[in-house]
Amino acid sequence: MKDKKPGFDQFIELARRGFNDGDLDAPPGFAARLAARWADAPLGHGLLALWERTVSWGAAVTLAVCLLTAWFCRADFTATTRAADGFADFAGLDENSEETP
Amino acid sequence: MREDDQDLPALLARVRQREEAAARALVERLHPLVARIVHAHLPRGQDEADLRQDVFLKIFVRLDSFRGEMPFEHWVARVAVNTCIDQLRARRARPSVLWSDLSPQQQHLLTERASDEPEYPREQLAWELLQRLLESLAPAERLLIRWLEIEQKSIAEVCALTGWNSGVVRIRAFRARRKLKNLYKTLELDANRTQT
Repeated sequence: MKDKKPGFDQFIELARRGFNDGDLDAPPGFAARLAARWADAPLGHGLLALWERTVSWGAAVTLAVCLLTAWFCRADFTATTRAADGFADFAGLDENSEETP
Repeated sequence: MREDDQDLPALLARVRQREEAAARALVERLHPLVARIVHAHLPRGQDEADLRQDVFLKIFVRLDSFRGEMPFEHWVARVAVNTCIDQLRARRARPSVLWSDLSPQQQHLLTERASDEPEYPREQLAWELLQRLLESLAPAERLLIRWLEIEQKSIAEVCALTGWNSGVVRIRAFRARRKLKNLYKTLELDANRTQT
């Protein structure tokens, strides 16, 4: 028996015909409540938003500086160097010293 | 003269002076535009009022940065789109739509045969089902499907409303459509399985 179920394109076409926006007018009192809330809000709200933005930019710049530093100093941060330095520190050895066995 | 009949620059000037009546008039004037965008992001109406309120408060806070380089409605649409995307991005969880989640009527749409008498308006069922499927997409993808596929806006209109360039819109729309198609096909497969 032949199917009547829609393929994807037909499904979209059907949905387009069934589409409705509903009621787009503001519900009663919505505009008045919102305007009152905005009018009562302290003016510092804008400064707070500015501070928030500054902090996030600051964090981003800090991260970028850290990454750049790590990139330029990557030779000093290899695993071998770190392991050798750690062992030398632990054993009290100084690799530049002539007394080192 | 009604409050919202007066010209926009004068109204905006009054809002900038923190005049409450002007703010109320501006909300009433912009409400259909903002409601349409918010509704496109929250297809099934969850928290719509909260999100609409957030959009309007952001519009008021940022009003000083509107310099008139673009139509005010486009600027508002961009604020609304960005607010919706930011809010919904934080939610992460996007429910996948399972066959068992569909109503019997929606299931019927995917299983009906040519001999079946239409029991429900198929257009309405398809629209409801599409809204469910859109919940599984990312916020920006929902909006693009709604604007391009359903409201049949042009790429240029979407660019103007979102501030994205046409390449970005095309690529995102393509991906969104592909994801939606895959979701629909998964449901079709489930429908076939239940029929056999």
